[in-house]
Amino acid sequence: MKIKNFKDFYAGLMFTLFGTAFLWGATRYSMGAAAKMGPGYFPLILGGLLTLLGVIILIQSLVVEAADGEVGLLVIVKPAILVFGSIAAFALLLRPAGLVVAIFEIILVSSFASHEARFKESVISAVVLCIVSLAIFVYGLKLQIPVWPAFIPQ
Amino acid sequence: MGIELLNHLVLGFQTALSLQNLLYCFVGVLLGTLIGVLPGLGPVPTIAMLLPITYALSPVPALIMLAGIYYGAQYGGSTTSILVNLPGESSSIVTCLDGYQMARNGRAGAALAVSALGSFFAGTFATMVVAGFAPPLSDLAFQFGPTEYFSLMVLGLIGAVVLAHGSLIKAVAMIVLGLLFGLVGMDVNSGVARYTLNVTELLDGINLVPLAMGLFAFSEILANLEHTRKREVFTSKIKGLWLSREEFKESAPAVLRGTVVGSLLGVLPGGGAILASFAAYTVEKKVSRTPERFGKGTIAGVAGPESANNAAAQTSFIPMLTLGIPSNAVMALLVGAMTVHNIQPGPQVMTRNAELFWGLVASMWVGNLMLLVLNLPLIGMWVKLLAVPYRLLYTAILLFCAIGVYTVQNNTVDVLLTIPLGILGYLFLKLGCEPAPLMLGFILGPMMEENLRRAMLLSHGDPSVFITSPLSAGMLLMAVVLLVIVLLPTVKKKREVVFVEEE
Repeated sequence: MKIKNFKDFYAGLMFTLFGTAFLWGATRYSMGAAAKMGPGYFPLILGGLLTLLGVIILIQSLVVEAADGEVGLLVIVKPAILVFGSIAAFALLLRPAGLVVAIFEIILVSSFASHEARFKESVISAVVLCIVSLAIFVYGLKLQIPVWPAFIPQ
Repeated sequence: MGIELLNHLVLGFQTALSLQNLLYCFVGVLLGTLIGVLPGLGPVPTIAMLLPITYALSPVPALIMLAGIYYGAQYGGSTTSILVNLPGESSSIVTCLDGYQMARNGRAGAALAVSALGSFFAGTFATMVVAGFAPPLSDLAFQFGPTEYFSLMVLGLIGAVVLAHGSLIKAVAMIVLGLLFGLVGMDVNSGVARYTLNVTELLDGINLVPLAMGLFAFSEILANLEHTRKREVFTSKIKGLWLSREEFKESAPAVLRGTVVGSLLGVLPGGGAILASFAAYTVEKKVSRTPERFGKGTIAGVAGPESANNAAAQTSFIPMLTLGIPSNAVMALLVGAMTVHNIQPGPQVMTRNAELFWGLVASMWVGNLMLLVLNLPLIGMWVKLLAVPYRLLYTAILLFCAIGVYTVQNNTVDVLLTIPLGILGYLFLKLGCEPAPLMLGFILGPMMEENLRRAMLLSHGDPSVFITSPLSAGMLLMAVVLLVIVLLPTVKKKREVVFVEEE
């Protein structure tokens, strides 16, 4: 059997997996009855439906010819790691190290996701964004965000 | 009826013209124009980013501002389409076709002028449509019980996928996945924690803001990083922001047609600015005596779609405000915003929160007036923004998204949650799965379950109630008819044609 539409093949696979996962989860909650639905009733219907749709898409991808089925399934690993990594580090740094450090981290790290990045330019943009963010979020809107590292008495 | 409407509008303008509301309306349309001009940042992540900030405001200015972002983006989007040949906003994709050609022919000024003026006319008309059609629709909605509401949601969701572009079955699957995502968290009836994977923060469900960011902002950034396109900006060539007599004669009827098409398509579930602009372009090409000139710089090809997207952006508030059913991803976020302020979207908004409803409607017209000034005399300011390179832009977008998500509940777990959701969003993009239906499902999931439960409780577990109630049966029948129509081979082909200009 040959896959004729890779996009749909993987999409179908994804929906089937999600569907069965939700279906499996639903069986662990009580079903109740039609007149008095338990927490498992609606998810069970939806999980079943999603699995069914996933399988149909999967079968279609094997049967129906597609013009653009070849897909640039190229995944850009380095930019993805830098972008998501910079967000993760931002989340982990914000409480202990404060907003200023976190801003420098997210701007500097994520800027390398673009191959046009220039270090000097990124530093300047981080400084500008620091000033703007402090002015808008901390002093303007008075949001509760730690600004400086926790060990500095504020 | 007439007097009542007049009284309502007076109340609306009193509300909208208060100093505070004028200020927030201005901030909204200003931000809307800004993100409209900037390619790669749309209204969904922007509204999600600002949602937490509006928690501190009272609901009227909050909604006025958020609404302003949506229709403001329709104005800004055209500028980028015309000058850079890149859609600043997905609803301005078709404007690239003729707008950019006009710029190359030295008529950038005329293209910009007709977009702004057409949008203003469409915005004024659509404001009146909202004011006129919302009250009777909400009267109808008052007769709805849980059975009817459930069927209405089914109809709304089916309508949304039928009108969306791309694969129908994948869109349906995305809706179902969205409904399931909406069920994550504590079940209100039984207190059982569902699908929380033992994460305490998920007990309240997946938060709307990280979901919108992950699906709409981060995946978009990654996609843009894949291919860096060369931009050619026509900045020096903007002169004379006015139309010649012939251009005016050609564009006036196009504006009218675009306004009507947009107003109609905005109200439909799944409708909204994007669909309206595509449909208006198709209409213009059909009625034109010189269809071969389209794509080569015809002013009707700019006037029609640009009027349509603004009209639709405004009329898409009708189903949200009157029935509580969001018709697109932006409305889904606004439902979230209202819920935070303890306002249950639905027919009761108009009576219980009359000030909010009519203030919002009036603010749309006020906002359109502001946008006309922002986008015509001040166009030069926005053009300068286009010189900012994307490598600086996306890092700033990431930062503001991260801060926005954190401030929802002052919680870093929400920020971390955007990572798996962002990866998922990127996967959806790669596999050709539209994220908008998922957002609609996500918002409607808990409401659908609740109404299904109540309907089945009232009918003692008899599912035939959905067909024996005439209103409910009618809506379900409409959903089936819609599906059948779309699956007919001839319509299927046409549906693909409508969106084919995108390529």
